[in-house]
Amino acid sequence: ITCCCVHPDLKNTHSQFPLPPKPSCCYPEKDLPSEGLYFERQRYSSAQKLCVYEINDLDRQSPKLLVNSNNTNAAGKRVKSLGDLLPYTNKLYDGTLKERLGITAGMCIMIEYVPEFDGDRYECQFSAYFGEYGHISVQGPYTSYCDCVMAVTGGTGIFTGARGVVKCKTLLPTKLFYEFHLLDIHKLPAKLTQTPVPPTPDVIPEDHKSTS
Amino acid sequence: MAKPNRPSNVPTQTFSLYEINDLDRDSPPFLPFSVLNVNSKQNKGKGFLGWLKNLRSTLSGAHVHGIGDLVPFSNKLYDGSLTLRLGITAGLTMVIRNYPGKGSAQDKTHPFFFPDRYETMYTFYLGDLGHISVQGPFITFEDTLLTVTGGAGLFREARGVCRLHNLSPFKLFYTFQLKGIPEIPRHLTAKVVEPSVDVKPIQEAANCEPGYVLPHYSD
Repeated sequence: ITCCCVHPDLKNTHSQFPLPPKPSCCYPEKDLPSEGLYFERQRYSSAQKLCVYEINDLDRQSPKLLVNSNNTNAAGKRVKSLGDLLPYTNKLYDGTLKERLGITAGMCIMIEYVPEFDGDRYECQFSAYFGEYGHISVQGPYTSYCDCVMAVTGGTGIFTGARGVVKCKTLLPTKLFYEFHLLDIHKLPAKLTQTPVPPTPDVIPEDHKSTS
Repeated sequence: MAKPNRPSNVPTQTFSLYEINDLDRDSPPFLPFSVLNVNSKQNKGKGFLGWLKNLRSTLSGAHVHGIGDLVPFSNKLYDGSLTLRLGITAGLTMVIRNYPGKGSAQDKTHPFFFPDRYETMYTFYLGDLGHISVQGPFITFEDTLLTVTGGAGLFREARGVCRLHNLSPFKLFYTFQLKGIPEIPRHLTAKVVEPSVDVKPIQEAANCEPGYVLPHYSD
C-alpha cells in the first residue's frame, strides 16, 4: 500500500499567516525524505505487521455526527466544517476476514473539507479492541480522500508498550483497511499475522456471506 | 535480515492511585448529544416542537445513553494510601454503547450508575511530578485496561498500562504498570488502602493542608 496523498498543507495558501522562521539546525528542504521513506528506516524494517479490516454495518448507531457549526455552501446546503464531532464505533475483522476480532471506538474531529479531492480531513483518536488480546490506541489524521498514516500511542494486553504507525486505506466510507507497524511488543500470535485478503471495495467478511 | 524488534528489558514499576469525585468541580457535565442533534434521523420532520419535547425528556434523564453523548470530567487524585492529595484528572469520555441490565446488585443501588461502555482520553496531573496521559475503554460495570500514551516530568518516557477498577461512579482505583521512568518517589508507593466503596482520604489531605499535598498539586 503506498501513501498517495498530496498534503494540502504544502500549498501555502495562507499568505496572511507567514510560516515561522526555521531554526538553523533544520534539514535543508531538499534533503527531507518523502513520507513513505520513513518506513524503510532501520527500526521499522523489523516492526511487526498486523492487518485488520474495519467494517461499519450501520447497526451500532455509528457514526454519530454532532454538528457544531453553521456553515452552508454556495448552494445553501449545510456543510461539515471545523468543530463538528464524529464519535464512531465499527466492527473489527482480522486480515483474512474469517474472524471477528472486536470493535473500534473513538472520535473524529472534523478539520476541513478539501474541495480539490472532494473529501474531508479529520483528526482522529480511537482504540482498536482485539478482545482478549488487548487493545491498541491510535491518534492521527484521517483523510477520507486518500490513504493516511496515524500514530500508535499505546496498547494493552499483548500490545502493551506498543509504538509505531498504522496506515489506513479507505475502501468505502463503511470499509477500511488498517496495516499496523508495531514496535516494542512480543511476537504476535500467528492467528493475527496471516496473509490478509487484498483490500478492494468489494471484500466481504465470512460471517456476512452466510446471511445472503 | 533485520533482527526482530522486541520490547526492551527494563524493569516495570507499579503504583496505585485513587480518583475521587467530591461533586465540587461541576464534574461531570453529561452532554446528551446523542438525542439533541436537530439533524438526526429520529428528529427529522418533527420541527421545533418535536425538538423541544426531545430536549425535555433528555434533560430529565429519560433518554437512553447512546453514542454521541460526551462526558468531560475532572476529579481529584489521591495516592494509594489516601494520605496525600496529588492533583487532578482531566479529560473526556464518550459513550460508545449502552448495555442495559449489566452491573452487579451493589452497582445498581447507586443513583448515578449507568451500565455503559465509554472510550476515554484523559490525563492524570501530579503537580510538580508531571502528568500521565491515558487512552482506552472505561466500562462502568467492569475493570478495564487503559494504555499510557505518554507523560511529562517524571513520566516523560512512560510506557505501559493502567488498570481501572470501579468502586462507585464517583470513586475509581487505578494501578499503573510503567516502564521507562526513573525510580518512583517513595510517597507514591506507600501502603495501599484496600479498595472498597467507602474509602475516603484522610481529613488533612481532603482539606489540602500542607504536608498532605504534593508540592504545587494540580487543582
